[in-house]
Amino acid sequence: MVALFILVETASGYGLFKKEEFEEIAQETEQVKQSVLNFGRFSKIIKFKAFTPFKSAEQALRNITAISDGEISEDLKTFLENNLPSPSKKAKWTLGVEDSRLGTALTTEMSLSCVANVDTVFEIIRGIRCHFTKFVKELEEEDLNKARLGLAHSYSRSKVSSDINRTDKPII
Amino acid sequence: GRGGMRGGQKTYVNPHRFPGVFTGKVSNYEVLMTKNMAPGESVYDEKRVSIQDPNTTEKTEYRVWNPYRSKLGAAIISGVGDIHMAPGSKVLYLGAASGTTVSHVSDLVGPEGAVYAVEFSHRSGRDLVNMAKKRPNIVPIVEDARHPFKYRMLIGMVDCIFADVAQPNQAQIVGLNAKYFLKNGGHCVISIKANCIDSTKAPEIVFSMEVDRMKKEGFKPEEQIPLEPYERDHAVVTGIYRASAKDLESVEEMEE
Repeated sequence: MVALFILVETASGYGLFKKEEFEEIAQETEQVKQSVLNFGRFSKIIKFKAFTPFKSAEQALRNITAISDGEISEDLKTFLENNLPSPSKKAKWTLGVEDSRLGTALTTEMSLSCVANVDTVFEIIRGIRCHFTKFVKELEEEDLNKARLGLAHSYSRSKVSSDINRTDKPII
Repeated sequence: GRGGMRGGQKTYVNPHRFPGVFTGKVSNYEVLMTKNMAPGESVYDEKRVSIQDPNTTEKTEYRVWNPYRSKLGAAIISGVGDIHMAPGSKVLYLGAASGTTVSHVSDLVGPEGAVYAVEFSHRSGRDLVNMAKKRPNIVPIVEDARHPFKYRMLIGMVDCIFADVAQPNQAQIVGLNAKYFLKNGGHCVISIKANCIDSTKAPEIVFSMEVDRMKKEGFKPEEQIPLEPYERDHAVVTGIYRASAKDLESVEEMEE
């Protein structure tokens, strides 16, 4: 068994969580599923490690643009370097992410051991998504909702306006 | 009789059995309505009516909900047992288009609720984003509903997924989004257009195939209703996701 770190990306910033022991078996997925609804039980299995907020709308937009393409932004790189233990032979750990493209990028560009597309990781992130603001004391649910709204508008605006090929052209 | 009505008020509004939905009479037609979140604005040229509260001087504006333009509206008029959204609900809406129905869902869930509205077409997406500017409970997302990981930073856990994506693999798309964002015991409300799934088979066959696919995605189907006469060969199917034993007590076995 190894320790599992879990990366969760939100509109307010990046969060890092940890499960002390991780094994890719159905029984463990079931254990996580059972505990998800109850924060008391879930927070015994999953520990909050770190959170770094985005400081501006521009920074949030840069990060979601990278994340939606499965790429590592500078901010994400810094966040992981600052908060993951430095690789050593003694302490064995792996990083769980939700997107396998990001997992591949983290493995090749940062030489991190990653797991993606794994049921246990999916279930853990579902649980963290339910309870995110309970884990992260400095963040209120209302702030997170506002961040989602603002970021959705800027992300969607960037999508429709960057698409030069689809703007209406006069037919001559 | 109620002679007092004679020659009197032509327009009135009553609450529907679904909280957040209203029915009433406007210009002598029985209509479905929602309370306008953005008073003074129509979204798709629908009629608005202002009703004065008899006890105060305050007026409330309602928008007429056209069932020919909205499958959710058609499902309500056709007598669906539950729409699984109410004031305060968080709804993930897949296939938001220009936001016709989304605007009514926004009215329905109100300021405490949220509608995460996903639309891939940039043309419709532009209208959606503009409409959402006046409605702060709509989170507009111009992205591909087949790839929920692309918008995972924008959405929290939701109570209900409404889907109208007109894709052959719609059930799979809903299942994937549910895996990311739908609470245990949450619901889906799916509009199925038979010939978008398989135009060679009879609609009834297509609907039952889709219900089977929903089961594979972790839903327990609850209701299926046709949308005639508002839409041809369309049905709305609802289901509960990852139901616990307790959730299932209140769910009646669906006739197969």
